[in-house]
Amino acid sequence: MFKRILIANRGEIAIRIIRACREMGVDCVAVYSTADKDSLHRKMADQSICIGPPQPLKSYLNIDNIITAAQVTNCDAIHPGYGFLSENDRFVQVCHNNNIIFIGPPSEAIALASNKSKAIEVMKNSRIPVIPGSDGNIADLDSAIKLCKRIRYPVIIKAAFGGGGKGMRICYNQKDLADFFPMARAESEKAFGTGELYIEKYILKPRHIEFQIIADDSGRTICVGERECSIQRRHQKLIEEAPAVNLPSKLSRTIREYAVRAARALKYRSLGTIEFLLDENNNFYFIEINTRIQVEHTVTEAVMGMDLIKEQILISSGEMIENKKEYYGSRGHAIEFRINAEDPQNDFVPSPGKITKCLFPGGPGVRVDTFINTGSIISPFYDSLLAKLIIWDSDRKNAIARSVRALNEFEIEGIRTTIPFHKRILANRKFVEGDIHTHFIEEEFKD
Amino acid sequence: MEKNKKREPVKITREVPEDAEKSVSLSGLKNLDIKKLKEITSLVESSNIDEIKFELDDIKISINNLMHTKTSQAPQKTAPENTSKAQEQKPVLDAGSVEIISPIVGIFYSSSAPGDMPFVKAGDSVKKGDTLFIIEAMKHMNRVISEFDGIIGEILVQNEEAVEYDQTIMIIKKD
Repeated sequence: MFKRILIANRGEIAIRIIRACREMGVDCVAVYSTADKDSLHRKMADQSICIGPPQPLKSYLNIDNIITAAQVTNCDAIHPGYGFLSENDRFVQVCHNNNIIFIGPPSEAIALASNKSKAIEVMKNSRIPVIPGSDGNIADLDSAIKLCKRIRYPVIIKAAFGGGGKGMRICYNQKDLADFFPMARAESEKAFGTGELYIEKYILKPRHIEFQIIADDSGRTICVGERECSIQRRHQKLIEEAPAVNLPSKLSRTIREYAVRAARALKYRSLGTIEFLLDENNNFYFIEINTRIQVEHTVTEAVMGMDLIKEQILISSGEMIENKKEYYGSRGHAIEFRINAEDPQNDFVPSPGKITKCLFPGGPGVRVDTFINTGSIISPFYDSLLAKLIIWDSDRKNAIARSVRALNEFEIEGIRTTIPFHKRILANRKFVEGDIHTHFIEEEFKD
Repeated sequence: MEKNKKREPVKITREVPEDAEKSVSLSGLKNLDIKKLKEITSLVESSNIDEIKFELDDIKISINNLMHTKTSQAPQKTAPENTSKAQEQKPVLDAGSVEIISPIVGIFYSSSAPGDMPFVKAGDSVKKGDTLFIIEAMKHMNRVISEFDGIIGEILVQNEEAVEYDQTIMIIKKD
């Protein structure tokens, strides 16, 4: 087991990792930027080292300073948390070269996972379903028609070098395709200087579901349940749940098997998350693998009764997965709310500043992971996540009722937060019924 | 010998602000001799006195022996338990003095090799371009050079001690 771990992160996740270290009897060293010198993660650690000025590039992404901080404090491992250096394969390599264990997957697995087209290729070879479409450029309308007959409508035409919706067209039938294909090509030529297009199956009401996997050094890989992350705003998750909402247990088991197969295909080690899109007919498609601990790991912890950070540290120190873990049962329902320093009434613009009052909810089934308190200054240099409110109850209906109660208890003054927006979501009939998908917020909250 | 990695120029100095005089007078210390104050402080420290308060014209001073010394009317903060070195060693600066801070995390070396004479010691005069010390990080020796002429005041770090970013290494009184 490790003697001392350096936590190369800040905010709530740094504190989450410190707590796991404390329980395991492992010393922890915090790093901080000059903007975070009064931050709670620094005070909670056994030791702390200033690694740079506020700008992340010069502090929390400063590999030299972080490695040196680990060396001068005799740390044997680094936990990267999420964000910052957590998915930087070069950092993993530098840790390795300096005889420091990186708590996460090997650099090769990170490099492969971050190369999306390569990862998709690996999945295809392992017969894991991916979103059907053209492999690259579609030469002409005839081959487009042929392809769409095979993958079935609706389909989406995208510009190969596009972005911002330009050259993008959704086609519900062959007539649409015949009309839109030349238009999309002209638009793409004009906007991006090339008419290269590709076509993908368009998923109408996609749900984002993801599967938590754990793989030890021997390659033994298990899946410890799924999460529903369909409540998103501009691809940013806002609410996550475990288990996935109304997912038939047989289907859940099937996707779990695919998730484990995907991790094995990538020769994955440590904790990771395999993300899938689920369509209205319960077809599922691999999208990507996240090679870090995720913000929403807490809902899995709540229903599985396990500590994923401890598991991650144990696996990295060379422990093997015990047999019993495969038979962990999921119990009840958990929901996580991301409390961000954003103004929901003003297009979610960041709302940094000083927190003048802060009152956390409590009581049964309520967990708050945060680094803030009354008097905390929220710096504009870092992400806006202030706190995670995690609610557990016997089923989804009860968990929602408990969530309403807890959000009403939660008070943050001095800055704007997403708390009022979460209350609005909980009052939405479709959400309560579980009729959710990734376009839910844009459709239900147009104002 | 030493190899400086490609880095953007880093700021290694922290000067007393132009309005230092003003800020001192704001905290009510304008007419008080800092040396005297230090004497009183060390007296309190070495005694059993918990707290001493006195007034001088409109100046109020309170020295308290519970958590080191503070000399202002500002409310006293409790030092966090794991206070890092940079925070512990905030030196008292005279106007014209400059703090030399560590631009990186690393190991401080006062000389170019073990047993060698240190580059500088308190009281030495230095010229712009003189080496002040070395910080070792990632197997590279980073030489820190004086940006001006001056006299070395206090050196706050021991040889081979680990230092963090922004930590004050020494004070130089500018010529």
